[in-house]
Parts: sequence; structure tokens; C-alpha cells
Amino acid sequence: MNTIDRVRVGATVRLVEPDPSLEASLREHLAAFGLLPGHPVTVVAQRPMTIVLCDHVELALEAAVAAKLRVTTPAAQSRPPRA
Amino acid sequence: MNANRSHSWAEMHGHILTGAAERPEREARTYALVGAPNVGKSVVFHRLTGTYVDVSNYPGTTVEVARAAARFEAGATILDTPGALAFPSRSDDERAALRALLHENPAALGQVADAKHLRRSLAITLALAETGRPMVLALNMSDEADARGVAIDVARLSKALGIDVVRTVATTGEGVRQLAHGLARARVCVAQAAYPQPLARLIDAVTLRLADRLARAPIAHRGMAILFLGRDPEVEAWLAVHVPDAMRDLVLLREAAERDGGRLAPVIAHARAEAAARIAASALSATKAAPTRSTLAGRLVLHPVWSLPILLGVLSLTYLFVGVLGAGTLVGWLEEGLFGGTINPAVTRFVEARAPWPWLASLLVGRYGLWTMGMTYAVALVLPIVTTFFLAFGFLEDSGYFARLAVLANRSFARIGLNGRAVLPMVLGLGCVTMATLTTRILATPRERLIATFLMALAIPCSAQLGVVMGMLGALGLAWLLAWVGVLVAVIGLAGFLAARLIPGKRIPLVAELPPLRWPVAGNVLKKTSARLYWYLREVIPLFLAGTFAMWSLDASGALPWIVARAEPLVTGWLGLPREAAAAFVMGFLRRDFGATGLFAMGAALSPAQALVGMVTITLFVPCIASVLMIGKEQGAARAALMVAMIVPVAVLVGGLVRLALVAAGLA
Ligand SMILES: Nc1nc2c(ncn2[C@@H]2O[C@H](COP(=O)(O)OP(=O)(O)O)[C@@H](O)[C@H]2O)c(=O)[nH]1
Repeated sequence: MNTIDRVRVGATVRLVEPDPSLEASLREHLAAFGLLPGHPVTVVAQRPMTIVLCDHVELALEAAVAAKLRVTTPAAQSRPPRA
Repeated sequence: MNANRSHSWAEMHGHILTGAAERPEREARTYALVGAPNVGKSVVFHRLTGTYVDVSNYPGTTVEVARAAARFEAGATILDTPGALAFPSRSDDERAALRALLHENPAALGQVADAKHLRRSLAITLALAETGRPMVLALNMSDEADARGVAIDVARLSKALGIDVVRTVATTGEGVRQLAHGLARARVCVAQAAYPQPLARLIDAVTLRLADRLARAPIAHRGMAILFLGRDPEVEAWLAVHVPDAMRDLVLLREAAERDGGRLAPVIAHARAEAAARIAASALSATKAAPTRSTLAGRLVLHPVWSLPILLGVLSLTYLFVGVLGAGTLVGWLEEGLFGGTINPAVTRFVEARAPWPWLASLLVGRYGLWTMGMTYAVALVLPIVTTFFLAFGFLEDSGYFARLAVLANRSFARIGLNGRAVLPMVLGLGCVTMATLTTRILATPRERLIATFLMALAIPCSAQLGVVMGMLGALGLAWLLAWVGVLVAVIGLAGFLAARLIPGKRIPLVAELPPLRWPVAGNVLKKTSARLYWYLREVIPLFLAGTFAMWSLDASGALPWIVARAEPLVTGWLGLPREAAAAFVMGFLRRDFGATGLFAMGAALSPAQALVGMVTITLFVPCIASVLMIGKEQGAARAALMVAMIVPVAVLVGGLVRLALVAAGLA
């Protein structure tokens, strides 16, 4: 499965359940930011770290976290983001 | 400042124990503003109150609430609670916000939310709805939402939630009047998250038990049950006090559920998020909008190539403002002109003529006098520097640059066991280490706070000292100045590397929101700056006076010359400096810049190599007494003492090593 740190800049992907090894506290933190399974996000940068656009808000994710944030494979990239 | 005092939580608890629970119904109402961090809540607060506020909520750092009289309703009070991203609470800020809900008996809640992120905002709305308090939702930053093509059907949303929903732009004041109006006639939110089984049944069971035992609770029984099941520490503590005999039973119920399905907080969060997404989708119509200028600028700031020149530009401008205008021009006027030329001679004459005992005169206006040293230092030297510094700091903070700086710095900070967020206290340390020590509270864990505090105490020079170092080493040439910077960076790197490995616990990775780059609103920056300055006057000046007093006592009792004599062999031998430098080092404990100034005054007597060794040692040396007292306050006396016991030998050791390196290189 692809993770968000490997998605190309500009692509919109849909989040799925994060890697089970992601700590519960971080998982809750991501959820509070709106990064929840089923939600589309757009990758706006991969350097100096992964930055995603989630509902018009930019979130920076350190590599250790981004590498555990799984997303659907590129086929879903073309799906239009829902509101 | 006026009478709108804000209370520390301890005071507030005292207040509750003395009978606030039985407040008469007709008592003046309190409205609480609640919301995620960075949504513009403080600007809304200032708009709704407009008067002076007590400032104990040093923004983002302390877990105290600000309160002030409402503008729109005589006798009413508005509370500004710390930013809360989610309930059950996890951070200190979230706990403080929840404490306000539990103990302040707000007549209504005003949720300030970011209109750009409706889904996330509504998840908080649903959590607040469960408290059973009447509420209003302010969709702030509506201007930014518009620019991004986010259109929200406010009427529809209001109908779905059953409460007033107001579009606001806090910075221009748009919608603030409607928000005030809405607060006065707030309603209970009817929208509810639907919890899955078996959680839903469990919530009902706990709700029933609470309803049996509590006639009235500050948070509706069901809301209380949900927060308890999600392990909210504040609700847990409240219940332990109010229904002690039911606790065992309740805890058993929760533990049984957790054994089957793990922690309940994520399940709760998920259910709210789903309900929020559904409501958001029904009220939102997004149109495609071109990326805004602010979005593009924000990306440029983090661009692999452009970020560096931008950073250098920001640093240079900050230096011009703080270093040249603040530390140079303003300090010159105040310290040499006003205090040195006019006030101090007059005060000294006055006191010396009237003091009945010579020791009193020396305590007040002597070499280590409370006025001539303590107050003069605090007001004439540090105040102008911190004023310009806080202005620049507030500007960068409100512009959204700092959030991006944290991203840029994250990789380097990871090596020393911190994350990019620590860039804020560290930069603030360049202004005043004492103040920055307090700001370490924004860091997520006690471990990070400890590491950051230690590194600042060790190797971050404060503004007062920076000025002297720049003057002295700068005059010798850029190479010497860079050598000094290089040594400090190496020390921070090595000490941080070791601290990160020796201090138990785990590093928290950076996950942060990047607010859009904005042109800061002058009024907001000024308000923040004045709040911080007031804090500085209230908290730091007493510490400077205490430090001065300690120095005076050492001097008057004859201990100071004794210490200086003990230090001499080390200073002349290992560090290779003249004898007089010993006094400068001991002085440096009171005021780091004083120590540096002491060396500066020796000027021509020092070779360039000696100047470098001296400056490195003085910088690494313990910061001023005020900062040690602050470390004691934040970290405990034992840790403060341990830090001093580690820092002094390290400073001397590194100073000597620099000398050896210079000798080996043929430069000394
Ligand atoms: N464009 C825009 N900026 C805002 C608005 N409200 C607040 N701000 C800015 O957002 C930043 C954060 O505001 P602040 O009140 O400190 O946030 P808080 O953390 O919620 O208290 C500041 O730079 C404000 O000037 C708004 O409605 N529109």
C-alpha cells in the first residue's frame, strides 16, 4: 500500500486506516486535524517535509508520521475530491 | 490595568470551593469563547471586550484564561479559553478549556471556528453540544474561506445545528455584533453524534448512574459520561470529588469496555468526525478557486531554494529592528541618557542624603543597588530590547512565518531530541532567556521542555549579551564572530545529542497546521506585545531584583571577593585570561551581559584569542540569576541546581578547549 510521503506533489489521494504501528496518541492527533480514513487530501509539498492540503488547511507532517499515513493507490487520484 | 483580573487555576479552584457552585441565578453572566488554536479567538475576544484585559494568558503558553467585561451586555464577562482541538482533553490547553466549562458556569459558549475547515470545526461543535450549554457558532476567517472558494450555506447549517451561526472576519470586525447578539440568546445545539454499539449502550449506562447521583452538573450528564469514558482527566477529577462512591463502579464499566475494544477516545472522535462530515457536506458548496497569493507565498517560504534567502532576509530585518534600533538606539537613550545622566544621579543623591544607615544606601543605590543595578538594568537595558523583540516576534507569529520556520528547523531539532516547535522558545531566548524558559510550556512533553530549557540555559545568548559579543568580536573581524557562533552551535548540537539520548522518553514528531501567510493586523500585534510586556514587568522584574539582592548580599558579606579569588587560578591557568577576568565571570552570574561587559571593558588588555575564549565561556556560563530562578519555578529547584552544577564546569571546559585549539592553530 502506498503511503503519503511517496505521493507525487499535486496529487489528490484518499486516506485509509493508518499503519497499525502509528502510536495511538498521534493517531488521535491526526484525527483531530481532520486526517481521517476516507477523506481526500492533496499533497502540496514533499520537501522539507510532507505538506498536505486538507479542507483548505495546510498540514505539515514529519517523515516519521507521513510514512505511516496510508493512502489509496494512484488509480483513485483522478477521483474528484468531495466537499 | 483595570479590575478585570484573571485568575490562576489554583485561585479559581479556591473560588469554587467557597461557594460558586450555588451562584444565584441572577448573577452577572459569563460567556466562554472556545475553539481550536489559531482560529482568531483572541481577536474575537478583543473585539467583544475591547477594554483592557488581564494578560495572564501569555498566548499559547500558559494554561490560564483571560477574562474581561463584555462590551455588549452590562455586567457580563467574557472568558477566552486556551485553544482546544479535541475533547476529551489531551494537552494542557485542552484541559484548561475543559476546566473552564466545568468550573466557570458559562451562560453560553461562543465557538470560534475556522470557516476554511468546516468539518473539523463541526467535530468540536458536536463535542460542545454534548455539554448541554447554549451556544453560538462563529465561522471566522470567512474572508479566507471566500478567497478559497468555500461557500457555506449559513442558514442551512444553523437549521441543522439548531443554533445561531454567524459569519465573522475578526480582523475587520465583520459579524462580531451578530455574534454578541447571538451569545445573549444562545440555544442548545440539537445536532448529535451517533455513537456505535456497544459504546452507545455504555454511554447510556454511565449517564443513568450520573443522573441518579447528581441533581445538577456543570456539563450535561450524557456529555460528562462521554468525556469520562474517553478518559478526560479533568472530568475524572471532577467526578472523583463529586461522586466519590460511584467512581469504582464507573471505572469498572469503562475498563470492561476497554478490554474488549481498546481505548474509547478514538471511537468517540470517529463518530463525531463522521457526523461532522455529513453536516458539513450538506452546508458546503465548494467552487474551484485559483490558489491565493498567500498560498503561493507560503509555499515560497518553504521552497528548497528560496527558503534560505527569505530566512536570511527575515533575520536581517529582525536584527536591524531589535539589535540596531532596540539594543542600540533606544538603550543608548535610556541607559546612558535618561538613567545614567539624569535619574540615577538624582536618586543616588536623594538616597545618600537621607538613608539613616550606609548599608541601606548601598542596598538601594550602591554598586549592586536595587535601583542602580536591578531596576536600571530591567528598565533601561532589557525593556527596550524586549519591547522591540516582542514586536518583531508578534509580527512574525501573526504572519504565519513561525509555523513555517518550525518546519524548516525540524530536521536539525530532531537531532537534539526536539521538534521544530522548539524554534519559538529558542528564538525567544535570543531576546530574554528568562522569558523563553517560561515559553517552553508550548512544547508537548515535559521531556522536550527539559531539553529546551537546558540548552537555552547553556548556550543561547540573550539579547543583552549578544550586543556586547557582537561589539567585541565584531570589531576583531567577522572570522572571530563566526568562530564564536560555530562553537555555540557545536555545543548545542553535542549537548542536545547527549540530552536526547540520556533523558528518558520519546521524541514527538512534528504535526502542525500551517496557517496562511497573512499581513499581521497592527492592533493585534500591539495588544500581544503589551500583554507580554506587562507579563515581563510583573514576572521578570521581581526576579531581577531578587538577583540583585543576592549579589548585594554576597558582596556585603565579603563572599564575592572570596569567590573571585577562588576562581582566579582557573581563569588565569586553564582559560589563559588575565586575573581581572575572574571578577567578570562571577558578575556574569548576575547578568550575563555584565560579565561580557566586564571583559569588554578590559578591551585592549585582551588578545583576540583571549576575547574569543572569554566570550565563549561567558556565553555558555549560567544565564543570569533571574533565569535560574525561573528555571527553578518551572522545573523545580533540584533540576535548576543540577543544571547550574553541569553548566558551570562545561562552560569552563569548553572555554579551555577553545584556547587549546587556538594554541594548536598558532593563533594564541
Ligand atoms: N484573514 C483573517 N485573519 C484573521 C481573522 N481572525 C484572526 N485572524 C488572524 O489570525 C491569526 C491568529 O489569530 P489569534 O486570534 O491570535 O488566534 P487564536 O490562537 O485563535 O487566539 C492572527 O494573525 C490574526 O490576525 C479573520 O477573520 N480573517
